[in-house]
Amino acid sequence: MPRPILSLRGVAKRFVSRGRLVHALSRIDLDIEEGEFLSVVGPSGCGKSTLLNILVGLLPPSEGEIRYEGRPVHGLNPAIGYVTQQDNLLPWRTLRRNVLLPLELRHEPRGDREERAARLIRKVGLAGFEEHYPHELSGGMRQRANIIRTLIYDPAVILMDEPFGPLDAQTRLALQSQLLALWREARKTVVFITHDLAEAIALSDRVVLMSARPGRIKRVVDIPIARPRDVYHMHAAPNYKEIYELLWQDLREEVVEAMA
Amino acid sequence: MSAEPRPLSVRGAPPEELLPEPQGRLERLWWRLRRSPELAGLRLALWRVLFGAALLVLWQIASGRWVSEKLISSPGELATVFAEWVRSGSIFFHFAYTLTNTLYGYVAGSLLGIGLGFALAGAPVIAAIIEPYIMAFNGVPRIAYGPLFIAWFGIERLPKVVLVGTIVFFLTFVSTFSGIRGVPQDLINVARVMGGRRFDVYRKIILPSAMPWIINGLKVSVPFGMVGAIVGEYLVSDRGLGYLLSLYSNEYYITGMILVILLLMVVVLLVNQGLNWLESRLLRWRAPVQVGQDRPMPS
Repeated sequence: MPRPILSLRGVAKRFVSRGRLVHALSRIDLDIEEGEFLSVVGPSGCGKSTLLNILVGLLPPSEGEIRYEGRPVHGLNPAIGYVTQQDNLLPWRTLRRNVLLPLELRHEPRGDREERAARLIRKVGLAGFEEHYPHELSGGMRQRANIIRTLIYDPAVILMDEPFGPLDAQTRLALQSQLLALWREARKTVVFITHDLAEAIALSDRVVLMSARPGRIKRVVDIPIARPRDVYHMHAAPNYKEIYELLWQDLREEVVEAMA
Repeated sequence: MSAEPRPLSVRGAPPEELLPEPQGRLERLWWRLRRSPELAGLRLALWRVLFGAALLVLWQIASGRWVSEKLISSPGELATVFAEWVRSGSIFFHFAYTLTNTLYGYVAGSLLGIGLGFALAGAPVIAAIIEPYIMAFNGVPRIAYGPLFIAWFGIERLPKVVLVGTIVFFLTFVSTFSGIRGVPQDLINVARVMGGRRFDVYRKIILPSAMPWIINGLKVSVPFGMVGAIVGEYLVSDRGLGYLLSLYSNEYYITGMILVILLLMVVVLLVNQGLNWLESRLLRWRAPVQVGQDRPMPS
């Protein structure tokens, strides 16, 4: 039984927006196990991104606490990497130097920096674009750069906030496939936010379904589809349809409520 | 209402590569000069010179024929007087005085402006408190402070340098301050999550992100700074281009006035060209046409 690497204990978040108190999250309890790929699905506005911001330490929880390897954490947790929805590449740096940024910020020895960057760039098919600036790259290329920029410094946990959200369907599939390959190799703990059920099922070991605001955990579903998986043929997996229907029933209620 | 497909209408000339290149040597040279995309910059420069020359010719013709020469002088007269000033060396003396005053004020003002911009951008409460005072001080035309500066700092260089300095200070301060406040919080957060400490976040995220604004502030400061130096000399001085301007206007010496104005124009143009060049070097990453071997900004 793997032990939890990150746990949330009674985490709630309230903030004031336009003079009104908003309950974004209410009493979340969750154990994230080491090495697992966990997806969080929920209607828009249910506090998924707030959850990630609290996990990494950019936002303090209003109640409850975050534990990392059993110990409570306050403030930024340097063991957690964060792949944001927007690629947030630095426009004045080339692709290569964007990928090198975390190593510079962490003052890691020069040694094999360049080789590490080159290897990752090659692995996600960006070789030949090293000296391009972000505005010269497509959305899919920028998002790949964003992902390897987090992988390069090897954080134990990686949070991903709808990293493939703005991409077209084919690019999404290709990047999901690449992400699974990278994950298989690095065996990181991944917490992945998406509003796309198919994506959540294809990638994850477990899917956490959140309710409409204030966000609570409504259901946690194991995805017993064997690995390695082929994202291009997920719908052909034996129990894919059942899992999808099960999750969709729950999600639909929340989506309807969120729209009301 | 015919169903026949109409040929697409094409405006303008066909693309360069579709035009046949002429055979003869001279013809080909001429063709290249007119059409080659690599020579676009040269063509533009030629047209600009031509435009200026045409204005001068028109001026020369008009002078004494359509408008009295006493009012608008003439290019020929200006050239004669200019040659005289150069020969006597007096123009260099005045030029140097104005330019050095501008330079001192510019360096001091921009260092203070950029420094305070950085400091206040990191202290939003203090910035909010003193903002109306700064804006009020800046809102008054700078010439109004001239007599005060003269009373405080005498009639030599110092009041002129201070005048230039205050102008440059505000322009660089405002651009630095808003440049830093405009750095996207997401970029800062990304760097913090990656483990960046305060100093590194400043150096690798905030400074390069604010750089376009800082450079722009430095750029617009140059002509305004020169105006400050000249206004200062206009008020009281016995040398400098502003002094010449006030002297000739008192004497109603139109040729002299126009010549000083033209010289000022040339200086502003040259400095502006230099700054444009510097900006395009420093901010290469912004130019959408530059690809490949470009080096990013130093960081």
